[in-house]
Amino acid sequence: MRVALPLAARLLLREWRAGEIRVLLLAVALAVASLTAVAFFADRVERALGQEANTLLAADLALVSDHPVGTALEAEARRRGLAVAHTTTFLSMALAGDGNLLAGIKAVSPGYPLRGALRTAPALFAADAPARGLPAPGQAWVDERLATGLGVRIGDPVEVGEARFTVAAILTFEGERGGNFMALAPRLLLNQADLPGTGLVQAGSRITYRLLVAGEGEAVAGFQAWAKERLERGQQLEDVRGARPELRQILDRAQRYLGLAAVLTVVLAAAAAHMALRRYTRRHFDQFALLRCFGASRRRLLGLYFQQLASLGLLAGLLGGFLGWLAQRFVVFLLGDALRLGLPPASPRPLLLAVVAGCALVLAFSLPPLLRLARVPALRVLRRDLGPPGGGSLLAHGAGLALVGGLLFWQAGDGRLGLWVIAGVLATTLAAVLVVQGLLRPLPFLARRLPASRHPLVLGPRLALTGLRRRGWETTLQAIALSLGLFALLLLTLVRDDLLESWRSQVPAGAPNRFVINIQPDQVAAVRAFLTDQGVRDVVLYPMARARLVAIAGRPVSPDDYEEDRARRLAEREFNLSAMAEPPPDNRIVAGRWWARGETQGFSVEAGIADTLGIRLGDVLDFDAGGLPLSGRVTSLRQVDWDSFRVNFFVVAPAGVLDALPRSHITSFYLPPARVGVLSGLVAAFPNVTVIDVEQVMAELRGLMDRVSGAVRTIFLFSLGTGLLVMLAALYARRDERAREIGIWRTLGASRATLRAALAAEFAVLGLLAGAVAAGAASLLAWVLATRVFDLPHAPDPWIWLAGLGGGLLLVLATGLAATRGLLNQPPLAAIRAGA
Amino acid sequence: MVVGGESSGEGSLHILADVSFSVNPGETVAIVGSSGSGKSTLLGLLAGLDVPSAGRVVIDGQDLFALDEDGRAALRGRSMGFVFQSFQLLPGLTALENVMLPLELAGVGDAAALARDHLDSVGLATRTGHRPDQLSGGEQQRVALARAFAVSPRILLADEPTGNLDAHTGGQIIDLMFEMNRRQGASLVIVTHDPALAGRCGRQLRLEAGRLVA
Repeated sequence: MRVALPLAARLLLREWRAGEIRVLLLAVALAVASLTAVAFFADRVERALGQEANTLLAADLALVSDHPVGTALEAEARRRGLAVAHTTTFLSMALAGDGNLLAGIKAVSPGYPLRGALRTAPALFAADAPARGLPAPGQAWVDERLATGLGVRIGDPVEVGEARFTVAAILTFEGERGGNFMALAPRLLLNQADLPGTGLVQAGSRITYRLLVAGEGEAVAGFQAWAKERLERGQQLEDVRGARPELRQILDRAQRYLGLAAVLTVVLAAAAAHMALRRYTRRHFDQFALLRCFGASRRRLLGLYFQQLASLGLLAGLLGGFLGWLAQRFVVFLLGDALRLGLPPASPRPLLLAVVAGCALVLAFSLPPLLRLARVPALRVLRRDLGPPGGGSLLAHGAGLALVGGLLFWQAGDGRLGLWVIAGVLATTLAAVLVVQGLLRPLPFLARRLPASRHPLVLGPRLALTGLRRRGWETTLQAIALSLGLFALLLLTLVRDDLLESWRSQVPAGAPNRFVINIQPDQVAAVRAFLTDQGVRDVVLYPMARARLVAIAGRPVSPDDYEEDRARRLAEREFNLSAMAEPPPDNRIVAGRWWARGETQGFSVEAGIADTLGIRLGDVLDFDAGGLPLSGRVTSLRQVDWDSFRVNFFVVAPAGVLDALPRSHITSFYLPPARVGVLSGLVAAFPNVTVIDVEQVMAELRGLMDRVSGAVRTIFLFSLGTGLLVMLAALYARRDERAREIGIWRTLGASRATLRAALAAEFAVLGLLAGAVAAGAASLLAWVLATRVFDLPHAPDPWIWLAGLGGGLLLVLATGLAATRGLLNQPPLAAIRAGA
Repeated sequence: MVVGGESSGEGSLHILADVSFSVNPGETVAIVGSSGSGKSTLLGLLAGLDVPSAGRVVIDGQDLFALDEDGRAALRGRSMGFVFQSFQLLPGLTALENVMLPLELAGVGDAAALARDHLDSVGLATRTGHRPDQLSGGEQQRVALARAFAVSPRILLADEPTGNLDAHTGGQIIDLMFEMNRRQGASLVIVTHDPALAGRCGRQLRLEAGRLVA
């Protein structure tokens, strides 16, 4: 026996066979596909970027402890299938011959680093390469600073505590140390197995223990949550965001951009689905009336349609999800190595999104027309002119918008971003309504001013102008959809440009890549002369004195006065004070004023630290520099770009103020890779100075930014595709009525050339209007997003108007003519009948 | 079917007034009159598709307007069949599916077989798989007839059933409609301009400016 399908399914199947519903399914599926493709891709990129960033932590998660980490944590991590490694770090003297230097000793267990790789060189200042394995027992790897400081070469012995090691390699890159190189002592890396032999690990020693873990995202997150509950005093968990603030900003911005693209794709998909469903429901007025005539109750019909639409949403969701998955695969394939990210496989999460989005889009935009459909009088079977009463119920529209809004917030992953985009969409819609309604009124007047000619180029535009006015709200609706499409594209372009520009400027070509410290006061002139002779330009040496802040405005400073960890650490440690006549180039005075020449009093304090420690303009600060007091009033607060790789200080005094204190000098400069030989000469001429190489750290950062930029560009392409889809849907939506109109015009004797000119004129007007609205709204929201969400400098871009108007004109004209292709070739009678 | 004292108000305009008549089972009635005389409005009221400002339509003892909208729909589903001037076939569905539609809505078990029988009885056994746009006007109206009679209505309401057809085809459709009506014993109420068609009905009701004059 044949199983009878429910009536709703049978009706749906018939509509499918009739082809009617295929267009709708395809439109929604494509909308879902672009949404899902963005989500799939963003998900993979995000995880890849996370892993990439984690190489700079050497792990996905680190448990940092001031005492040995209990075995229970490690056992739990292993039980969860995570890879585990240990590091133990402390400061100790490293000795070689007569030389000795305070070094950061780091003992590592097999498996380290869990993410990324160390880099080593076979000799000082030689080309480096990724390291294989770790120092063997009895061996040590030392960085350039330690090697030059101790004057050791490969094969030389070096002593740490009671143990003796052979220098086996020069350590050139250690992701974990990142940009924090200034605060750290030179590095000596040894094998964990050798640690007991040093005899340095004793009760009371200041040692930092790290348990590193890495593995599947969910397993890591699970372990993180588990371990968080069991942290002991003196222990904390660090992930890359916490450990490397300079990377956090890049990742956060990239993530927000992906969120923005996803959100705008939701908006675009919604617009496309709306236009397609509008056409569908309008075509069902007759069917609804007929079925009511045949005795179906309103409730039953609503149920039938609801079931049909829900199944349709589910189908569109599944199909769209699959298409989206294919699309992102294809893009990844096209990109090949260009992205330079090892993308992890797609997670199933976006597929869930696809199904939810499919149902949400269909229901959100069919609920209002569906309820409207329910009010179609059955009398329509006798009188075609009867439609449903105008306007959907507020409740139905509200429910639909809430569904899309929910989807939007889900994709934004950031409440503020979601809210701003919703505000932008509403503003664009409102602007489109006002502009179009305002401009439509004078159109017939304009049309009448055109000369009375039958020439296609005159008659066509006249038909177009009066037509646009006659279909007032229909025109407005189309303009809204087109404006939203263009708005999304322009906004993504503007924010993308801001983002790429900020990354380019963060590590500009020629940014300092070498720091020289420990320059003694009597060497300043000689070092400057040496570097200038070697072709290094604009050499600035800053004096640097170490001092502890003892009182703010007369109140003694104690770590116990502060709640915040950072404030406690700052109150405890010594500051590097400096003195200069002019503010550093990238510093910005945000309060007070910089001192004039000749002034010898005052401090300029970095705004962030002032905020953390509660220092206000006008406060007197008392410092203790190795027993020598130094006091002064805060005369200005500065904003400092810490990511700029330039020498910067928290507290600065006027030039000459530090002259009485024990001090050294520091400088930074850019050295092209081909000229690293200069460094050997510098170290030979001034054996006490230390050269710090940040080239690797910068290269790493640049690499990350390149990759993030690639990802951002690709996501942009996806959204571009969706935008085009919306426009096509918006223009396709009126195809039926247009066919009928064209049929009538042709019956009345209009030539195809006239009609083609009419269509072109109509699309041109629509495109220009939508482009103008979109450019205005996008510039406004780009500014808001840059300043409020992305925290980026933003300069208005006048080109966006050209892009909006030109792009709107060309895109709408091209897609519009494509969407109406073939209509002009239909016999008029067929067109009239089809539209009847 | 008893109709009494209707009036359908649209604003202050009375479309129909003082229209009273009854139709017996199996009777054929033509409602004639010039354009705008209120014929279609009357038909809409008879079918319960529209609601009068005053008056009653009683079908088998049941006052149509004492029922709510859904009650009227259910009554239509049970007792009425419709034929329209513009055929009102759903464009995406085949002839068979169009005929099946009211049967399926009524929950009839083997809708397809029944629909096939009815298409056979209007001479379209070989065209069941064709869609409306693949059928001629006459064929489309035959499908509409098959659809109207498929649910074995007690009353068949027809709105200008030959209005869109040429005289020859229209004649064939009328023959077929009367033949099927005779077989099923339904009452037939036809709104028409066509004197030939009106002449074949047992009774003619003439509407002029919303009033029954004959």
